[in-house]
Amino acid sequence: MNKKKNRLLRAVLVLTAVIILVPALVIVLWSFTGKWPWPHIFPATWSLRTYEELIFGTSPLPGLLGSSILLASIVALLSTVIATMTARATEIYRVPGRQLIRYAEFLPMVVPGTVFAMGFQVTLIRAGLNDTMTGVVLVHLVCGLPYAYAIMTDMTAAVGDALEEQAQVLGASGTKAFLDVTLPQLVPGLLSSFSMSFIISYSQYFTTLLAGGGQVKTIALVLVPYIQSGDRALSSVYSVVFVGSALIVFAVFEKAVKRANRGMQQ
Amino acid sequence: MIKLSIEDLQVKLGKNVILPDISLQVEEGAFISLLGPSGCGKSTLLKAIAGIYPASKGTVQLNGREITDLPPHKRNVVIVFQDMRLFPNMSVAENVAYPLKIRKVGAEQRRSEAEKLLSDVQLEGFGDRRIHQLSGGQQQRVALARALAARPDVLLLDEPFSALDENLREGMRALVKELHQKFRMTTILVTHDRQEAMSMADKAAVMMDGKILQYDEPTEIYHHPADEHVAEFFRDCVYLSGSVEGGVFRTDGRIELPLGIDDGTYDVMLKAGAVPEKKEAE
Repeated sequence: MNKKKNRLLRAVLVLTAVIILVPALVIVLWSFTGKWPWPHIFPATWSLRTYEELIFGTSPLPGLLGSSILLASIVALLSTVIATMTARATEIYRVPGRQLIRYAEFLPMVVPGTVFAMGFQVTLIRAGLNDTMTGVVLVHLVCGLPYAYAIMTDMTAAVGDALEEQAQVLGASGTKAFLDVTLPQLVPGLLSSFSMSFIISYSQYFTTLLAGGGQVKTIALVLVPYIQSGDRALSSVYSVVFVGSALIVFAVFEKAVKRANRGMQQ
Repeated sequence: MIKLSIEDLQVKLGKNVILPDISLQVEEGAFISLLGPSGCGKSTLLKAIAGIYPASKGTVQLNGREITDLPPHKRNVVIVFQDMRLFPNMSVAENVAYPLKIRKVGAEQRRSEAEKLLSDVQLEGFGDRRIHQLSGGQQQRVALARALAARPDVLLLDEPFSALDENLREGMRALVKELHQKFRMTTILVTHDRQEAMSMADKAAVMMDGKILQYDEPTEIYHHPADEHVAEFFRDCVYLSGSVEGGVFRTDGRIELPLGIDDGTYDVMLKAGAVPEKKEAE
């Protein structure tokens, strides 16, 4: 019975992996393609044209990767901190008007980014923040915060403040009680919130274009026009970089967290 | 020599007045119990003493020092909660040593004190376990050891035994009494169990609807309840309504009772006579 279940589980796993990986492999194949006319199963000619463009072209890869990862990391960090504090205000301190805050935090999930980005753009221009990194960070925050906040409210409500109360009567100040007792329990939520906001920022196209005015370059910003213009080989190479770099960032992130965890337990 | 002194304390949660006006004096080293039905405000009183709930009126004094406006961590008043509230991210020994760590006691001394306290609560050698590896009774004992590690001026126990099995409860009561004899810290036990309140404490305060109805020695409360609410809370009793005329009490039925008291309407209370003996296992 158990063995059967295991086999079934493995079959499902393999199937999902195949469904996701095979199309991804086709993209990798496309990125090396010179010509691939119908009805060939494999490309007729191979080429490294796309990789030349990627590395030495109009927007060289290292700078592009650097600014994308930096931007997404800043957004992820800020939105996690803001979400944690907001969740604490609405769930633990039960501030007046918390219903309104919850509603407002939820709005950007409902209203499409293309809609509010217009209004946001006007505000940025008035504030003199258009075409700047700060402006892009702000608009990405609006996109990422609802998810970070949703994760952190559930987490904060589940953790509660009972243990913090206990730590305080044992002699810990409010801040110390939070750091010693509550924060370690929030870690899973903080990690999901960070990852979620990172990937949301990483994959923004329209909001980046509008707020950054092309001055702030990200991989998504370069990738999307190639998809629209129909250069399959070039859009494939950027897709490979997009997915690959996100995966690498998450792998590094996970490893760092594991190391930090081990350090904390010693 | 009064250790803990609460005067005219009022506690509000939001707009609700939970405790309208409480006064209570607890002598140094005494073991008292707060007894009352659930929702009577006894846990609120504990949290107000510990500083978790702010007082809207009145004062709390400890050894003559006013602590009414001090935050919880500066009062040295520790609560052991019913749900234990052990820290899941720390081992058993780290939990017990937590108050010492806050007080910046060195690692060596922390470890040896935690070990000593763990043996006081009969958990020798459990220091390296994780919290989830312990049974409910063991967790409660860890919570107790951790509270003792803080060397509190006042130890507050909020229904600490109600989450335990009956047979574990008896052992825990004995342990708490034993630890009180040993450390002699002022202790307030909140409970809704009458037997527990009466058998463990030097003095008991009976609470109802946010008020202390009677604060006295257990036998005194038992034999001379201050009013019928206290009497009713302690046992099943029967009231006979009637009136006294010419020194004789009469009910509507056929009961006649010669009583040398003034004429008027009275309630006569009947209750079982003796304090029930604690049953020993045979």
